[in-house]
Amino acid sequence: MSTSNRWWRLSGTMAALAVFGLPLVALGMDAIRALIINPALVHLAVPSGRTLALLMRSCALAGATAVLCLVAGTAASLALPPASGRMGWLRMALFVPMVIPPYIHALAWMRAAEWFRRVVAVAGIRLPAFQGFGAALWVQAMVYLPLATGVALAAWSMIDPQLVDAALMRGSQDRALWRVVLPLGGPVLLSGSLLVFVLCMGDLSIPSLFSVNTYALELYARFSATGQTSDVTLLAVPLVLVCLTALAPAIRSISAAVSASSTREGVTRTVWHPSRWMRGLCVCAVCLLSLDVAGLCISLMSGLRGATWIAVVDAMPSAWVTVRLAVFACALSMILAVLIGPLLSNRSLLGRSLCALILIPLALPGPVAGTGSLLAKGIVYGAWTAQVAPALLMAFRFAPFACLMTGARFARADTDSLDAGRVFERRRGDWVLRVWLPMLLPVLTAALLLVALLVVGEVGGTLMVMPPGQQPLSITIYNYLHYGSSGTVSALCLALFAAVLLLTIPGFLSWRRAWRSA
Amino acid sequence: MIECIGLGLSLGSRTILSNLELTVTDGDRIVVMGRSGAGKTTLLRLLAGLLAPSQGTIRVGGELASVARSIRIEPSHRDVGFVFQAGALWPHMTVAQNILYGLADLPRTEARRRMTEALDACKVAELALRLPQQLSGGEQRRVALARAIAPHPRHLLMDEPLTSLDSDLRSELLQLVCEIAQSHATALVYVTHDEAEARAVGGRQMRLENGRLVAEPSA
Amino acid sequence: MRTCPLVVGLIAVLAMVPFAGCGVARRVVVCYTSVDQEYAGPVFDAFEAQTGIHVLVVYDTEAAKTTGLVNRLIAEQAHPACDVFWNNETTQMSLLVQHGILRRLPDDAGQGILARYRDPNGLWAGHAARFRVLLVNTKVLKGPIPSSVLDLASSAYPRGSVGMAMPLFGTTAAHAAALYAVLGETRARSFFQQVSAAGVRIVDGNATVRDLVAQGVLAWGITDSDDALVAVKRGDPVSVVVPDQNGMGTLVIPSSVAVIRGSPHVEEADSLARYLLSEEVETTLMQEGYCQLSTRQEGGIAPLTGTSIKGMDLDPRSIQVSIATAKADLTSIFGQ
Repeated sequence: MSTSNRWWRLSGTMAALAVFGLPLVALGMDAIRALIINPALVHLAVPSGRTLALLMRSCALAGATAVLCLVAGTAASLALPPASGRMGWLRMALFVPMVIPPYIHALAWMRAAEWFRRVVAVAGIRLPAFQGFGAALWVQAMVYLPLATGVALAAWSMIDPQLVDAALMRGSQDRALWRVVLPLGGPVLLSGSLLVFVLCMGDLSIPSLFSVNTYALELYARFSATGQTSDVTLLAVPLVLVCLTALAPAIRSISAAVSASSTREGVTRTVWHPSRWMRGLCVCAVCLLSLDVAGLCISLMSGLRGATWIAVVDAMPSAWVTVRLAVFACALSMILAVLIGPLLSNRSLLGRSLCALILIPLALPGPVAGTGSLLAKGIVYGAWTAQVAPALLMAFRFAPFACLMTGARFARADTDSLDAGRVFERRRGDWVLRVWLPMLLPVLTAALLLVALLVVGEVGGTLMVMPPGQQPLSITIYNYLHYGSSGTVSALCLALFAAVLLLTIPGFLSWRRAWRSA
Repeated sequence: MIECIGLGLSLGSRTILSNLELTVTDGDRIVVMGRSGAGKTTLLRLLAGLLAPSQGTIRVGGELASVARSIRIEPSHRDVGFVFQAGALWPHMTVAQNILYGLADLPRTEARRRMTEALDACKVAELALRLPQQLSGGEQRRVALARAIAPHPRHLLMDEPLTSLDSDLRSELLQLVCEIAQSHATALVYVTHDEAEARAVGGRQMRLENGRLVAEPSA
Repeated sequence: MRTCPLVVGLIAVLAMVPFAGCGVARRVVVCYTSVDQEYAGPVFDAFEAQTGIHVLVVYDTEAAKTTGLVNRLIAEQAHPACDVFWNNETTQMSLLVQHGILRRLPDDAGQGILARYRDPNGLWAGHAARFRVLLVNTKVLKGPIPSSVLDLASSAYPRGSVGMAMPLFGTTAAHAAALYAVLGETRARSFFQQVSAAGVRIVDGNATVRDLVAQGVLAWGITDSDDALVAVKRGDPVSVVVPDQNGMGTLVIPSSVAVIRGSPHVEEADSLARYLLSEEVETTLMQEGYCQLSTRQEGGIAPLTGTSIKGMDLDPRSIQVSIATAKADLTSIFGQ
């Protein structure tokens, strides 16, 4: 084993332990301390009775959302224009709603549903109130549909077009779809829906808006009642275990899919196309996706009544805080991805252990993650890290995506090309700067874009670690919402929407250019 | 000169190479044959410094380059050219950039001259501005060869460079390889599983069996 | 070579951020507050103008369900970053007192505040009180105008047409605890069971109750006076009813101010605490519409209704005694 590999393993492991391990250790120590004082608290980690019912309901809601997203996302992805075409940039517009906080998204649907009820009531049709399990399910599915569609697009790009062509030699379009296309894309599609499942499990905001109690409510209620972080850590154990069970098979496929996604889409480069009835379903799904985006924009624009534009301008410092936070979190995530990603592609004990370590933050609800960061800051960090704590929290929560995607890219890398770079290197640093990093660039760009989108909408954990005097835009939006300045909220959200659209289109174009040469 | 003494490599419980002895002097031409999985590629990677041996030593130019579990001299400092099995051209660089990469320590003019010389020798001068994925399989192999010889290495390692090429192209490239090896006085270690190809290359014929190199009887 | 600028840019970013907060050295004080930014912001600006002490603020958000700032204070207790905690109610102060996070307020802070709105050990003081109200949509309401919080359990209103915030958090939790203290455990438990059985819509916050009533999704709901005032100012078709004025009275909710033990800026903290608890600030907050009642006098006139408000005959500190029982019961009733 060469020295450079040893140093890499050491750096990557130290980085993983520092960013991901410390908050988890802090949470664990806090919980163990509490258990030593009061062993009866262990019952918090074992759901029973009411809490078990809440956990089951959470699983049911999250599961149903995942299935709905799987079906609709798969269908929508088959009807979207190809990325290499002139209208390819439109795809990015369909995913930008991910940056709008899910709560705002849900409120938009709530208003839309209420408007629809009033409209049909004029015609004498009385619809039930838009609340309960069904409403929460619908809205959650709409919020996560763009993500599921993106994963489906990645799934199609992985399929070898020759396999599809071979199926078409001897069978119909439908037959090729059910016997070849779906089975080949199936694992990645399923992984995408499991990712949606995990994101829904930890969410309180949307279900509570529609009066649906979930397990996350138990966490918040306990937190509010006792203020004991250890109680919440123990309560979070069943939630984390359920999510890890879903995540572990999902994440490798998703990472491989995203890292392999290309504008030279596999299945759509063939002569395969959905049959007529299937095409109808696909068009309906993409209409639904577009309706969600358009509806969100219309809701925000119609809500501009009463917008205090001065308030929007006053919110610019918050916007700057968010931009700075996102940039720093992305930079940190990039470093972690570059250090840890290669280690994850290894099937060694170290690689598997690191993979397990970085999966856990993905399953933690935001406030628990924020608490972990805070406790870690208290244990190890000094006052200086008050400024970097928010970025460390974001890295703790979202850098695992970047690390896993990079790891998957490495697992598929042409090792000969990498080795050739080492053999022919004549100038120090050429191998890293001119061979290694450029090969990583497309997947790093995609990963960092995802991290940035998630950072912009994060609230629960941010509140725990944001330095005084620095408030990100997400919290400003929520505060205006609470105050009732829905107009200002709409204006801020539209500004956020437009800004992200402006940022992501160039990002998408450069990503596409990078993939074309890959 | 490359000298291997008591070279061995084990991966887990599997012994790939065991107590292997090999000396490659300047101008040597050595062909290493063996069945698939015998360790031919592994041997080349050890010589190039891409792998550390489990036992034994490798000396390059009299200096200790690799010892057990440690690489003392990095691949880029062994004055070695390597033609990988599938070419291993960098997809984000043009043909010219692929070759210039290995000439970065030279003055610009000299580097460009050597690049042109290598492209001409391999008969791919007109492809300089193309990307690897725009080339045919044969063209990619030529470019890979050009990249390997452009820095004028003292040793040229070739790992089954003509696999999956048609016979006409194979003969053409074989002739090219031999011409280049002769004209540059480069020591050549050529790995193949094809007996006819091995005979065409000529030089010392060796077979990798049970982790050791055994000289083949002369034809 | 494209990666070179990327690497240089990355290093520049990383070098920039730690110094992002640095500026000219000046006196600062750190305040965590759950009072709405709309109201608290101008108060801090005025304090800065008066004293030259810069206030660094962390605002709470209702989305965090009050798990944010209080739990942050508890988690930070080994190395406090906060100097002053300005809460929009008082029940959470008991948690902070239990954890030993607060220190005594300056003796001259909050002069004139009635004893029942102060912690007996001087660890916090209440001011700028709001109260609980019923917000009614005048266009949608079918049935009698509600007049008591006990009307939540009434069968006179269609199921799902009445709303309240989840009674496990915030002022709704405080109100529930107050009902436990006034009605007694048994009667209060029975009441809330009836509320659940009556199909009252439980939503995620007082602001949501306000908005749903204003939109006509709900006929009426229970919320805070400052939330109700927002709907009135917006011109929504609502009217405000102060419940139980002929009975037990409504819950008065003072905001509260405390200083943190071991905080980094002691002098500045005392200065801010004195300022926040001053009569001048309380009057300003009343004029802005955040609060309706002063804690310096009983039976004041609330600008929202133009009438005097009968509050529950209850020592605010006694709410803290019943809150644990109330939350446990309510978790089992509404947390299903």
